[in-house]
Amino acid sequence: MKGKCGISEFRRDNEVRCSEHDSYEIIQNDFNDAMFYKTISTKENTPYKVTCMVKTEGVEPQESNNAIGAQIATNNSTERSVAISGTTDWQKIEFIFNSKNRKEVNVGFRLGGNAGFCKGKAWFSDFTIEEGVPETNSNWKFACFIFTSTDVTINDKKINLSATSKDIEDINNTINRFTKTCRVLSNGKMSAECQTYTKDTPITSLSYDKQFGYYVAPEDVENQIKEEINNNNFDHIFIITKLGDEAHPDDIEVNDWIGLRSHGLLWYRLFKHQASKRAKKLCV
Amino acid sequence: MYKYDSRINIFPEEVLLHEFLHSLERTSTEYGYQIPALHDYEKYGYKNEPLIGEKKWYTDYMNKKINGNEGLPEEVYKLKPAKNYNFRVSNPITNVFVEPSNILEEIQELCRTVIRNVKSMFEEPTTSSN
Repeated sequence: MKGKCGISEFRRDNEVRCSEHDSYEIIQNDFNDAMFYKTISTKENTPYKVTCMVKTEGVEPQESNNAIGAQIATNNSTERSVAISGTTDWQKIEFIFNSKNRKEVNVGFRLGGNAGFCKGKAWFSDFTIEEGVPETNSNWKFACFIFTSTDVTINDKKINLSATSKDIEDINNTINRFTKTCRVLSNGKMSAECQTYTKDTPITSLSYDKQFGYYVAPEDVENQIKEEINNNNFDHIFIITKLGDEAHPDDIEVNDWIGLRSHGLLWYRLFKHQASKRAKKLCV
Repeated sequence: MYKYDSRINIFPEEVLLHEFLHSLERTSTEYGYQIPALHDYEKYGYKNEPLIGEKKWYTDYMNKKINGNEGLPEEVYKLKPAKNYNFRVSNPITNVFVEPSNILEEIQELCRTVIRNVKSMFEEPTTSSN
């Protein structure tokens, strides 16, 4: 198999192998985003896990972003696995998704990403797919990561923000209230349990969107929370961090609060409160 | 910009609930349910009240009681994201990533691909998930 699509080249490689199977190579000598995919038939509302072995050589994202690199993804969506960059030996990556109401899904092996382009080489091999069993209960497990400090550079200005112990107490109280509120307001249709993690390592990068301003994208915190995520089965993730205080009320432009969703788990930037003379300032 | 006065606000968890409901809203849409937009409380005659924010809206939204029968379907509370837990018991699918072993299978595979691509040219795009 060999082909070119613009500046991306596709090859079946019988020399660089992980096992007895040939591997599939994507070569990009310039920044690009390319994928080869297989259409698979799916049952509705069913979880699927796709794995493969991946090896990379000189994979360099055009901008610093953990979401760009060699990955498994579906096309026409932002569903994806972890993205591998740099030069790495064969390693297994996996991608889990729910078919929802789709009867077919295009599962792709990609060099690049929705978040941007990259160059380099990636080899993919030893593909597997398995069908899982969906949960049928309505008890939701939440992970709440409270980042006690934000340490970023915005427009060449260093901004260091720290949550006080009162901030953290307030957040914990709010999380406890949320747990009960889910059950009460839904009249028992759902229940919630929250596991809270306080992270003392600062958030050092933020993502930006013209409409919403700065926010915490999954890529900004992925490395700091992946251990807890991988060792638990959370249905939903909250990321809580400080984006302003009296000293830096507007240094981090926040136009609105938005919810983000990343491969089935939801990530949120919470809103920034403005201080008033009477109101307590809680910037989250 | 969302504002609240913590001395008098009695619904501080509203922000967490609001964002979580966006998730359920999106899931409902992806599964084909027609539901009101979470931000449309004013269109349906609800208000953002001083002490309790949009609590009344959220309560009716979560129990499908807007205009008597609109809101989140009860099924959505069981439609959770896929995760490793779903694969404690799993079924490997072995006939997907299989290469054609002879020229006939290659031609069959090529024909299937062509037919699929032609069909997709005439079909409505499906809602893609995020």
